[in-house]
Amino acid sequence: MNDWSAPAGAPESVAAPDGDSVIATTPGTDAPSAAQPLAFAFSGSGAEYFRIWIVNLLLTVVTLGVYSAWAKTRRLQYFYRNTRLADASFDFRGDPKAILRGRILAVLLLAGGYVASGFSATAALLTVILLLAGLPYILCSALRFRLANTWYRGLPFGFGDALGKAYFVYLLPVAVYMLPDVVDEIMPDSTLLNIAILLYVSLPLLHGATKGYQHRHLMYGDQRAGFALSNARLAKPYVPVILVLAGIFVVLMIAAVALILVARSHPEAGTWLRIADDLGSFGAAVIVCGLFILIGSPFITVRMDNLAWSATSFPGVRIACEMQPRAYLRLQAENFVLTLLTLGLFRPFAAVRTWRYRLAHVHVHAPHGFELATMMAARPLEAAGGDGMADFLSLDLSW
Amino acid sequence: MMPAHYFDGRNGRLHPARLTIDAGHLHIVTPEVERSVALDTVQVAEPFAHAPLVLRLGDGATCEVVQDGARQQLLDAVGYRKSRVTRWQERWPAALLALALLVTLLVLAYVRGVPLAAERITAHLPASLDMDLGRIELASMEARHTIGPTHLDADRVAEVEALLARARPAHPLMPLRMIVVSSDTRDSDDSLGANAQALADGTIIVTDQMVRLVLDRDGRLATAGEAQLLGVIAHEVGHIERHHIIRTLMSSSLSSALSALMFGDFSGAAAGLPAMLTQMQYSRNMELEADDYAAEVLRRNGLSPAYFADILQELERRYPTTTSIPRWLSHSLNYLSTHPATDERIARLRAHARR
Repeated sequence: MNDWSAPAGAPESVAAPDGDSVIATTPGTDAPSAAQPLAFAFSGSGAEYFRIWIVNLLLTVVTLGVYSAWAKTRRLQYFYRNTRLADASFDFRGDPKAILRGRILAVLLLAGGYVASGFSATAALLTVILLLAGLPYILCSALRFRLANTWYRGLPFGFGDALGKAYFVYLLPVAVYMLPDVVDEIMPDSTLLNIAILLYVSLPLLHGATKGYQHRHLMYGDQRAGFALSNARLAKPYVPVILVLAGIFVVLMIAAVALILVARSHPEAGTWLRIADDLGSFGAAVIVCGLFILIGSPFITVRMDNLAWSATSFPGVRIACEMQPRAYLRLQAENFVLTLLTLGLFRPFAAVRTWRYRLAHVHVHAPHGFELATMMAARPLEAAGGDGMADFLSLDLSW
Repeated sequence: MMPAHYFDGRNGRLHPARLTIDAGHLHIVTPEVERSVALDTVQVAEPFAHAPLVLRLGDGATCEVVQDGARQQLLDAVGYRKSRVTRWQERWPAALLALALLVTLLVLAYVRGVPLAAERITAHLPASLDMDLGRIELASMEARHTIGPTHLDADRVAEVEALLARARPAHPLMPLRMIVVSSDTRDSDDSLGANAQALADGTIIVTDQMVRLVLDRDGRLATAGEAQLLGVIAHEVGHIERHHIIRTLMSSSLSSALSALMFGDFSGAAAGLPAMLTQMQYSRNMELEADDYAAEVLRRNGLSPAYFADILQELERRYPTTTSIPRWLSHSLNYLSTHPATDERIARLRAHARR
């Protein structure tokens, strides 16, 4: 469902700096009334974006995907420039050619890996290892590219130098996730497999670490973001979801056992026995997994976003993010159904709705006045060099 | 005098500013700063209807202009000209035209482009691929117990296998072979029933049930039965001769790649090869091509194409095409469907026979 929030990720990252509009227009009169939180405004509309979207889509199809880099740039510019905070708008200044370079490289790598893995098992293994070794670098540089090209009040955002940590933060969850398969392959029927599966318990914590990583290294101009939340606290939204789903699983299993016992004593109830059997052997697991994907996972995402953004601050600026998981879920469900019913034509409207919802639930507090806070942010020194590198390898994976 | 917000690019401070244009220069006046820049060095970002206009000055400073009148005045002053894409996406009729073009393009790509590309690709594929695919499919059918050793007696099997020689073209594309199998599967959903199937490597599978269907009351293969079975076998030879299996496989792979690109759904593209092989259906044109080949073979053997129509009719009677779609709807859908209705094929073969 993330797919519907077309320009996902970035502008929220941009949400950081804030100013009080009143003060902004009359500098030097930073008043205590600046404690009033600042809201974002969005001046775009679904109808306007629809026209941009359809032209983008057509040109992308006609050019066999080459135009997608320009389409992406225009889409981000539309969303960013129509987003205003404290009398100033955001902007995206990424070079479409850099995005295209990244995409061509990604396609070549994937195709090369695909072809190579057809040759031999060793080549396939080598491909996977190379892909894993490159993954954190790619994700980190994509994040950096997006942020370094997001501007607000004449200053770029940024992502602090944290490539080393990217390996820990992105590879560890993949490793834990894949471990049971690897163990099963190397040592079938070993008790180690159970231990490997048990390690899944750490996945929420690792997810928290990934989320925290993305926020801790945020920058606005030369200012580093403060982030006062542990990975464990970030992972907390998993707890109620896991408890509820575990409860549902237990109830389903009890129901299956009860059904089997009852059906056994009634020989004519063959169908019921089969249903109960299926439920007990795999049905309950399927139901619980489905519930997790459809409801649990978006719920966790929204609450983790709330926690992460509300814990992010810049000198003199604090962010508060208060999205309602239920309302957000309802919005995405509506978007999904309407997009299906319109054969995809609702998609641009859905993107605008999601964007508006997210913006409406983020506020910025600047207790000593926003103007003062933004005045303290200066142009980052290494901007030129860092941007060039990010531009060169901007493996932007989102569409 | 145009109100604007000026950002000097050194820090995040917003300077309320007044802009004036004079003698090819843009003058910016704020309470602290006063500066002039040549208009031809000012860059304008693509304007959107309700977003502030962004002016980028050479040294990293920017101006944001909200007021509508001022926006237009500045755009005129710097001589901004809308790109063709911008003009296109600004107008509803043009945008709707883009939608119509897109739909047309996608339909064309699906209906024409994909089969054409599949044909081109197929022509360049190595023959070893056909062999591999056939082996994979046969192995997968055996592994799932869809097929097993035949229960017919050896004489019958020999008689049936001898029919292949009569359906063989003068210069076959690849070596053909035929196997008779039973399809008493454990899982009735997966049963082939009375059926014949061509594999990519030139193997033709005929099931026991199919053979029994054409045996006479004494359990022998009489002339009529032989002619009917020859039609069925020749139809499958037709599929092999025209590379239908691998072309269909290519088409469905390309279609799923296309839809993955459009909708970001890779489930189709990621589906396993054996699953794809068993689920695929030949296109309407391919079925008719194979029918034509079968009719030709029957004629060559001095037999009427009507024999093949007879067995199709018998198959349709025993295994009606199960569909929950109402009859009137299925009739009209038939024109759109890629798979021809058996009725249509039978009528076509009978017309062949009358000629």
